[in-house]
Amino acid sequence: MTAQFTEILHYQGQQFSMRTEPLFEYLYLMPTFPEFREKSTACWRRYVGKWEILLDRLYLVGINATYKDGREVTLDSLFPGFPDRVFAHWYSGVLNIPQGKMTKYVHMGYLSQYEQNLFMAVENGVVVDTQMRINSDDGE
Amino acid sequence: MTESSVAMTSWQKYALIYLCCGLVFCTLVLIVNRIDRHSESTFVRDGMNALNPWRKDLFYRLFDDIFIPVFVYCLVMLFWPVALWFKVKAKFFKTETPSKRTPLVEIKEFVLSPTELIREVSVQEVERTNFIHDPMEAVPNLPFGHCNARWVTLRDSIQATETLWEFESSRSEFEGTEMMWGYAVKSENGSIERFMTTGWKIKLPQENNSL
Repeated sequence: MTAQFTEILHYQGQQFSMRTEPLFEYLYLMPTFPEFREKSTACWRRYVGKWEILLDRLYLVGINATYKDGREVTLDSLFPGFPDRVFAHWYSGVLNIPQGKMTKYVHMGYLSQYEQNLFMAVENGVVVDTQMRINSDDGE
Repeated sequence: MTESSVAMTSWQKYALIYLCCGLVFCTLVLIVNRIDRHSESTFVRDGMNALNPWRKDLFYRLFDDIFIPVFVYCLVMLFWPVALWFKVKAKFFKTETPSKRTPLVEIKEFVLSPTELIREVSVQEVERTNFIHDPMEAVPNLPFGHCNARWVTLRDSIQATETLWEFESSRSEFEGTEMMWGYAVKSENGSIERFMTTGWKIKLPQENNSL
């Protein structure tokens, strides 16, 4: 499995990569799983979501994907009536946000290692806790 | 001109025709790929560059942009019938891949125990207490917001002999999750077959633990 594109997260005025896929839980629970066109072997999930944390809340603010029939996927097509911003209240879990320089490239999933990892606990779309982990040189 | 030299000329002619076909095939593929690339966004390229920062190095770019394409071009020109077969196969005999992913690990089925049911509730009470507020107004004004369709499915499935209950469950097998709660439908014989999880209590990983 090739190294995978991460999700994109805007937080405190900066752009980060995010190794968690909060949209998957929403798509998985939809009556029918939407059919997206293949992008690349570096994007098996076939979409990249753009997220923002604002007022300690997780929002989906964009998506890059194409339906199988060639139409562009928009937020409005997934969340009718919400073309610009969607509050991710369905998501509870831990966001994993690598930071700093890449210390080791691994050609597999999200296994590449970085200097730090920021973890954010999110409950029903609201950030309730954050922790920064400094990784040692060998990435452990 | 001797017989052998005539035969040699014929062989050369056939080789030339074969290579010309390869050249035409390669050129056509190249043109089609160029057109496709123009219509694509820079999304994949940018993503690959973000994944592998050394892709921007001069040596890598020379290797990736010149050596590899020239090598592949020559290879396809020599073995173009094989490449043609793969193109035809991809175009006309493509097998659809299922959109649902197969889980890499077997996940134990989540079963609610009757002891995890807290109290019986009414549909009206649930709908009244589960409106989601968002200061940015990025959620619909419906019970359970963007997940309203899931709730409607559960609500409409309740039979006259069934009751709706609030549940709360603590499970250790879900990493990071301390507790979850939601609503479950209890049948006349006490079994719980349908439920909807609406909230979670999350625990961050401890130091030296990876997610």
